[in-house]
Amino acid sequence: MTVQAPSWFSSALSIARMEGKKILFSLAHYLAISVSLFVAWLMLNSLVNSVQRVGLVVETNPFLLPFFAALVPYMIFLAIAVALTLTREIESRTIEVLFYAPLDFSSFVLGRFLGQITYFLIALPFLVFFFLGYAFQFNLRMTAGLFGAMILSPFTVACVIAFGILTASIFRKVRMTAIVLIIAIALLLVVQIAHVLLPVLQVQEGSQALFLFSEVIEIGYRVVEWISPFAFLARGVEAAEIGAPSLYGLVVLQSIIYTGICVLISVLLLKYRGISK
Amino acid sequence: MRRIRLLITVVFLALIASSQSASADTPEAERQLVYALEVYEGFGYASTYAPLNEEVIYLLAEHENAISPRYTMVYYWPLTRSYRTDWETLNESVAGATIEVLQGGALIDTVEQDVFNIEFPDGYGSRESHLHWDSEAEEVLIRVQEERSLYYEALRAYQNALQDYQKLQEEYLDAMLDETVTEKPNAPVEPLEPELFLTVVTPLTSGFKLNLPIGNYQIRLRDAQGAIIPGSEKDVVVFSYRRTGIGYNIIPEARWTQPERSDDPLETIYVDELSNKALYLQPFIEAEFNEAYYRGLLDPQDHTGNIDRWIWAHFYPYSAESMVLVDRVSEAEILRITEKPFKIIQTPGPQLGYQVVEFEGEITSTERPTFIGFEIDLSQLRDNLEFKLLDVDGNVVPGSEREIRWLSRGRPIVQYLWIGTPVLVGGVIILWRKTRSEKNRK
Repeated sequence: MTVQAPSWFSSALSIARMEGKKILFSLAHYLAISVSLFVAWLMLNSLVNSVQRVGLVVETNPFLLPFFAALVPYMIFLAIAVALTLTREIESRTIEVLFYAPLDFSSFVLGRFLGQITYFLIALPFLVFFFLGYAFQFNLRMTAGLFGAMILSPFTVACVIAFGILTASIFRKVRMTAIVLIIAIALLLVVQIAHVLLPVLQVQEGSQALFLFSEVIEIGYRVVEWISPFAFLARGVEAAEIGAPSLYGLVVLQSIIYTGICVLISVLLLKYRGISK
Repeated sequence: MRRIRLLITVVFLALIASSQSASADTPEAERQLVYALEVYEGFGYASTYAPLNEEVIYLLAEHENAISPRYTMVYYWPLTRSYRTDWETLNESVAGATIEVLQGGALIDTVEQDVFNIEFPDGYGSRESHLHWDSEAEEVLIRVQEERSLYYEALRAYQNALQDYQKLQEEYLDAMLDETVTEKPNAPVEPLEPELFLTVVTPLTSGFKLNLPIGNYQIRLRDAQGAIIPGSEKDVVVFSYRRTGIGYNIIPEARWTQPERSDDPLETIYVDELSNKALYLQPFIEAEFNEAYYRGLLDPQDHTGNIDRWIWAHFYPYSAESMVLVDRVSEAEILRITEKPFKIIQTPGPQLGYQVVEFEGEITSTERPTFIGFEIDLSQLRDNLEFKLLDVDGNVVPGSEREIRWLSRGRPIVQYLWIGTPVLVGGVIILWRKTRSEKNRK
């Protein structure tokens, strides 16, 4: 007896396969990976140069920041790409044509989502290869934090893509979705980066404006830490770094739940608001 | 668009005006109930206070702390954005009150007021300090006073002996120079200065002893009539460290005035084979705490710490028996070294520089080592290695392990391969697809 996958899932896989093929045979995508690696390479080179210049550098994880630098633009690109494709299909009503085929909303959204994940899964081995090669060549230490980040990255990417799909399902217009998505991602990143940097910067005495800004960022971060996939990633990496598997597992679970909720809401929104409205 | 610009300008000017008016404020003091705190910070006691507006007090778990509620004058100081106390104008203890400790709304303990003092063995300003309560505090106060009296007596005796010595020394020199004196006297012996007495103890103060396990609590003061004193309710966060370990002060041979710090046992020390001949390591005891909590412990008004960040607090130098260097691959012991004193000697001549040499001989008031540490001679080593401290029993001191890695100086062309691989692989895949589809077409 053979177990057959549900038809909606087979349809989703077909869409994902189609998307995956598109990516696999596009040189632009490989170029994008190389550009991201170049950014990481520049950052790593500056570390190697500073060791040569001052003779001594103490570092916990020299690869972590370059890995984020290579990863974050990818995630943003993927989220925007999926959101724009979806809204364009809604706006131009080409999506209606798709539904003449044996396809429903769940398989359509899931297919798009899996397609974008495939793209990242194609890019990930190149990232791993790059960091391993660089570490081996310059005698840099590969830490648990980096491996933790690598394993966690598909889950984080999934969150960001799902967030992109959700934004598209809410706003349904290409321009509006693009603006909202860029602002939302920028806001999440700015709050997270400012939350890390502001306490490091010595708040000038008497500067109420800066103090006010720090307070606003702190309040903002209390929200961001629960809704931002970037915050999940940072927490997961720290958990891997200090060897806390339960915390790491919790972050993976959080990411899965986050992705699931975003995808589910997107499907429901598309279903109940309709595609031609 | 003009409206938006106008709005931005108004907000900007308002922010500037608020910051300027803030620095021009004249502080107005008001009578407040303040919790004066002597909190254990990991090595000694830190004095701080929680004014009325601060709702949370932070304490380290399983350590005694002294909490002393007092009425004082409090004013807002805009420059530091904190409330300051004017103890000189008013410093009134809350007589007859008791502290109630609650957890989850349930009363778990009632603490009576007691007297305490703090002893600083190395004088005010030193971090090492001890908290004493009740009769022990009184005994310490008497003991320190007696010891100080004895020190002053010894100092007086020394000064008298020194005067006598100087007189005898003059007589001795005169006798030595006088040719008429045939029988030369013996040289006088210089008296020894008594060891400096630095111990200080604070006066007896009334307060409450709090020693709680990790958790969240509430405290409040109940007066002699049984009523809750207004403004006395505070939340108490009792926390502990996440990790403990050994931190290192790393002095590079090439720039000994600019040492590096290694706090985290996960850190790697990257060195360059040509820049430094040696590293000198000074270990110290440390513990890692939640940043927001630890900053709050040292000053309840300090809100710069992040709840999701961790900081290492440095305590005191760790005196290890020895340090062992181990090969990272074979795990074989390479070398075992001990802590030694070192001295910096400026090299004479036009060539600018100095030498770090081992200090030999007796330590005197004029001759003393520049620093003490474990020397790792990098010129003798090449492979990645790990060093760790050993205690008296030969056991590895937990958290003292660090890895040293030599960074490769060469920049071979192969490094660009790591970046170009995706384009190369992509190109091959696309070319393969093209060839295949052309074949299929034929």
